[in-house]
Amino acid sequence: MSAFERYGIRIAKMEIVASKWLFVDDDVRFLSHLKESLGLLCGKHPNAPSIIISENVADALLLIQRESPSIVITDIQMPQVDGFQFLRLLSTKYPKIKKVVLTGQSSTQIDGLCQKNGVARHFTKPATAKAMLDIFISLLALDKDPKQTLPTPEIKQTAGSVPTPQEQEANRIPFKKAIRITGKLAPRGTSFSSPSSVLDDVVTPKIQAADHPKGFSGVLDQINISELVQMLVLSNKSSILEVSGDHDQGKIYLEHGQIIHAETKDQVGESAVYVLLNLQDGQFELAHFNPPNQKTIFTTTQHILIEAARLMDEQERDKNHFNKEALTSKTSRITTAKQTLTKRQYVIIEEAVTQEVYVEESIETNHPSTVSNNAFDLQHLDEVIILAKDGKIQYKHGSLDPAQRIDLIAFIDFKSQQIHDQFQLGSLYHLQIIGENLEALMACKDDDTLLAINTQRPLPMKQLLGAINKNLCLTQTF
Amino acid sequence: MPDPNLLVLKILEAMSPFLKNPQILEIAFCSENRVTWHQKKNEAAKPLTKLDNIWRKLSDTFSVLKLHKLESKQLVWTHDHGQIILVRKDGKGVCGILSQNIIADTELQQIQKSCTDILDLTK
Repeated sequence: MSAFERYGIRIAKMEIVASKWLFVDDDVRFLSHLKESLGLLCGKHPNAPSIIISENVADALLLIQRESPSIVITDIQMPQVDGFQFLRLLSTKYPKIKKVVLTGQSSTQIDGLCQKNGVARHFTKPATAKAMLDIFISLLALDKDPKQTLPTPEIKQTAGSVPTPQEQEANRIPFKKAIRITGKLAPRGTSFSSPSSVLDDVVTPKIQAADHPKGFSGVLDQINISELVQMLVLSNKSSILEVSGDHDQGKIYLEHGQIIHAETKDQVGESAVYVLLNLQDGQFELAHFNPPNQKTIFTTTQHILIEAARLMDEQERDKNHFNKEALTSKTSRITTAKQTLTKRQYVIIEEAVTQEVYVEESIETNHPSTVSNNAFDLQHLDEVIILAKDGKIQYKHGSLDPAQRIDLIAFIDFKSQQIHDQFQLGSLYHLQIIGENLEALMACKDDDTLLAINTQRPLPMKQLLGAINKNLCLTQTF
Repeated sequence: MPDPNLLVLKILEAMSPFLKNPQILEIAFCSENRVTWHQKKNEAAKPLTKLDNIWRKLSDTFSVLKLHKLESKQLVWTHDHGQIILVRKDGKGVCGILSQNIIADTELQQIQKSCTDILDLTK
């Protein structure tokens, strides 16, 4: 008889209220171990709590909506959105849910933050069956006790006030380029419905929500402007982000989550975005959206954010301080080139500018008329999507959701940038994806990106890559 | 629960012959619970303690692909100046190989098969 089975006899005699407990932890092995152990403890009790598990906060929020658990037990150290951010969100969105922290670490700092975030219990991850039993009994007691729902923690900061250094230190989460931004966010009447709006909720300080007619005010001291823009993009909002910093100030116009225009004192368009995203310290205000006089940005927002990150990384690598002149000069050269040259020529010029090399020779482009008898017909594949640099779909067929596939292409693009940053391997040529029942290929050629998928049969990689190389696919662009 | 480092080291040791290939510069293994070790050519194996190390970031690609209904077991990233091969097995983790050149198809298939065998056989 295992330890759990022995303890299970005791549990069977206890009064258990049927409810749902959600465990959130990025350690999948721990989660499955936990589920198995609690299952043993509960045995076949008819009112045993249902154990729901989630590996990340985004999934957890969807599960909360669907399953309405009575207790959420979360780890603290998790990628993307950490446990305390999640707890703050829970306090706002689901104040009735009891919150418990189950973490591998224990310190007075964590205890303080747990208390501050309305955590009912704080446990260290169990190493023995006895410890697991103690946690289980505690959770049962918590579940039964209606008084145990702790109120949403009071946030001591008032609008526009700055936290004390001790408070700042207690709340600090290390970020590579953390800055402190103070600002106001416009009223958000929309209810939470998808993981994409999670971050939007997380960063919004919940201060004076009830009696502040113009929205929320507060301090965001753990994110930079680039991350703030990403959150606005994720939430598909239309708004004007007004940013002012030590070196510059300007506005970024977002329409349905896409950057369409930006301006600073002396820059307009993409170069203005890069300048604003590079500000190290300052203030922002999110104003209601009014269309700009002119639309100056046509590149996808994802591309702009990646490019901005690349430029910032370059600067860090050079160990130089932010050199506004160099950045704006480079980006304005790119912008000028873009306005006057064709798309293909622009990319080559852009690369040349990056490498500080000028390309003056004429550029020959492959015209669709060069298609030969060896051309590859993409219609033979299950799913195909071809995107231009500006994010426009050039060609698609197959039963796919284009928006999802575009997201995937942007993600792969981002990963390939990380590979280059780490290993200096240059730009992505192609990615082969091989599964049990599928093969996929994402290939980049000039400005265009192709994603092809075959399920239940192999993808003719060799022929496809050969055709892409020679611009021989039967579409307008390849 | 067995020490996760033990499995990682076993797999990395089994992968170490790859480093004899002049094209291969680095090997790595990221276990299911995200313990990551790597080994560069002519160097000893080392743990990667930073949460945002590149091999862990690349291992995450599999879970994102799964969300996009593209559950996969092998990825080959071909860049201008090299390749990264990733081979994954449920319950074990992800083997990673960095090559400085683009590896020929037959050799690539052999490497992928060897990685799969290592993941299958290691306990």
